Amino acid sequence: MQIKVNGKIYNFDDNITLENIINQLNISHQNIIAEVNGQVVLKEKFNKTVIEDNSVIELIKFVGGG
Amino acid sequence: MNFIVNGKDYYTEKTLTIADLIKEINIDADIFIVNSFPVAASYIINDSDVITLIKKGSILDKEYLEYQLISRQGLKEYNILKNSSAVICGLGGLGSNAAVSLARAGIGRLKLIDFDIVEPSNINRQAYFLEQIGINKTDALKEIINKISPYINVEISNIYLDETNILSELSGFQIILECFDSVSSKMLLIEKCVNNMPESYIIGASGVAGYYNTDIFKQKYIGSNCIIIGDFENEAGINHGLYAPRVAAAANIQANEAIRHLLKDK
Repeated sequence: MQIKVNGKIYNFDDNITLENIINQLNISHQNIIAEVNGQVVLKEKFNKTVIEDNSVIELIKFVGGG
Repeated sequence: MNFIVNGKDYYTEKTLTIADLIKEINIDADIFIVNSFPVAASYIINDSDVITLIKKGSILDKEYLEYQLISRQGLKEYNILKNSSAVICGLGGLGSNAAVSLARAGIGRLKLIDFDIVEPSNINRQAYFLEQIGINKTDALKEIINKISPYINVEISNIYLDETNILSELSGFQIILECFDSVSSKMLLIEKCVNNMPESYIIGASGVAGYYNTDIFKQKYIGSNCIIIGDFENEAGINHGLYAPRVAAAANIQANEAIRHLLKDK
């Protein structure tokens, strides 16, 4: 199935979790805000969130300083 | 013909220049601003003009002062901003500078939240003064805003925001500015508020350290009610300082996003 992550289209196996997508793309889990189809997914739900075909995911890195 | 002079409606049948108007209403003025832009005394007044007459260096009656303060902005916009509200979370380099800009723009209701006091290492990039070292940032910033404009209603909350209090502290504001220094607080605000506060527009920042070119600042949207400004890379850390120009640039991009949202420039 096709999933858009940060604007790029990727192919993943069916029933993949958000956590596995992040792992397969080699993105660090640390300080990432994940948005799936317009909703923020809490970090503790990354491994329970099953991603559907044609989903749109944004992974946004937060760094300190202000 | 109807127009507005120093915030008050004015009606005349005559064709008037600014010089004629000054004579007619007997006001001492040498700066003339019409519809947000300075004009000469020979300017011929049109129907619906918004005119502010200022005597250079003087502070006029309090009833005129408010209109003089915002005469470069536009009255229609000011009336919207005066009835708007914003809460600023974290009063460091981002929050103190953003709050000052929002106060200058005339946002009528500002809430300032921070748990910390002003200390010497803040002064290089935050809006505070040396004489304010040791006092609460909330009190210090309220004092600065009161000195800029007495027309802003400033509320303060001297607390550490965490998951038990963040929703209640931020509820009821049109704009939420995420201006924290710590990454865990930034994450908490975004995770708690984007889904749960759809009526508020959340404006955050990530990656404002150093003195890198500001053209690498990006804007990323989260959900339908959140935007984050920054380069998403340059973190404050050892040998990686925070500098007033870049952090205040990000703060003012946040403040500008607030104004754009409130005036519906999107």
